[in-house]
Amino acid sequence: MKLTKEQIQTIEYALGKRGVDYIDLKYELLDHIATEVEQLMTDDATISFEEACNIAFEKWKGTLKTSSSFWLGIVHSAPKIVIDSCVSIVKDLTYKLIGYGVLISLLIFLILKVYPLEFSDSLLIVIGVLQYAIGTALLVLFLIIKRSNYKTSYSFVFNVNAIPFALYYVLFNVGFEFYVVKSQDFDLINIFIQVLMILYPIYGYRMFKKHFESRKNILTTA
Amino acid sequence: MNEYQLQMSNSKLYKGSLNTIILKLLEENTKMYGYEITQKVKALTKGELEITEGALYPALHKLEAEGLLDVEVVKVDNRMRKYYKLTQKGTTETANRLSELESFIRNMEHLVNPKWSID
Repeated sequence: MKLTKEQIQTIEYALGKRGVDYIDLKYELLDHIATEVEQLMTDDATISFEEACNIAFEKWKGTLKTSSSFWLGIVHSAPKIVIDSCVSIVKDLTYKLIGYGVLISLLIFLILKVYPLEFSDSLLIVIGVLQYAIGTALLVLFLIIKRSNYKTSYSFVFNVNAIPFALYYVLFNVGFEFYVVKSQDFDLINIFIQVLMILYPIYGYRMFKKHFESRKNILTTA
Repeated sequence: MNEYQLQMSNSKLYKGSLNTIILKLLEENTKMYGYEITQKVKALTKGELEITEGALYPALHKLEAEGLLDVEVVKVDNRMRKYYKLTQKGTTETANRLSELESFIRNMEHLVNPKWSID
């Protein structure tokens, strides 16, 4: 028993009503539920499409309920399956950021211990301007994602992460009072913060790219 | 029972093996989609083990993010179908995880059902 285009659209609409409008997840869930409905209608010829849909959605009740997570900030909510997918992305991102951040910071710290360097004021200004530029670039990427008119779990993660980061870059440099300290105050924590600020945009950009790749996969198939 | 647990009386014992189960199935079947995986597990275990959708998809997405799985989207019956398949890294990791699981099962067998011998 194969579902018609209209029946598929009915399931798609029901998913949208439950907040599953993240395209990287929506089409996968749509296929799963549609296959399940088809199977139910094949196993029992007396069952209607509506009844089969109700049975299938009942199984997904817990997975589709509104949820939030500490990892994304509890103010951000979405269906549980979306939150779980985003948490998985954020965890991976956080562990990599911290892992690489610690390694690079330790290396810089040790180099500075062996070869103490004096940083000129002009270099500090360059770093400060660079941070402004990174913050602005992240805001531009945010606007491009917003203009794309569709959502993915990557855009969800980008929005909850990149905006605070972008503001952080800008606010900490207000009035060119740069959050870059003189070489004699270069302790491990300070170096770590600076390294994270340089590393984060790489991951932010990766989220941005993945958002558009998700759409490309679907368009290629359609 | 929690939605995110495998639906079985001793689900905690199985929960840690979910990723290995998925990898093993993909190793044997080249490419599979979500619903197919749930049905295959159900059939292989004669209905004793049922993977919930709430557990399956986060696991698949995590394996994909780790680079162990690759995806292929195909249009089937008026809708998109996302197939998962092992990457090269995934194939190596499957072998490692299966060997780890086999060793775990062997050790458990020794602990739960020890065989005493004179020599």
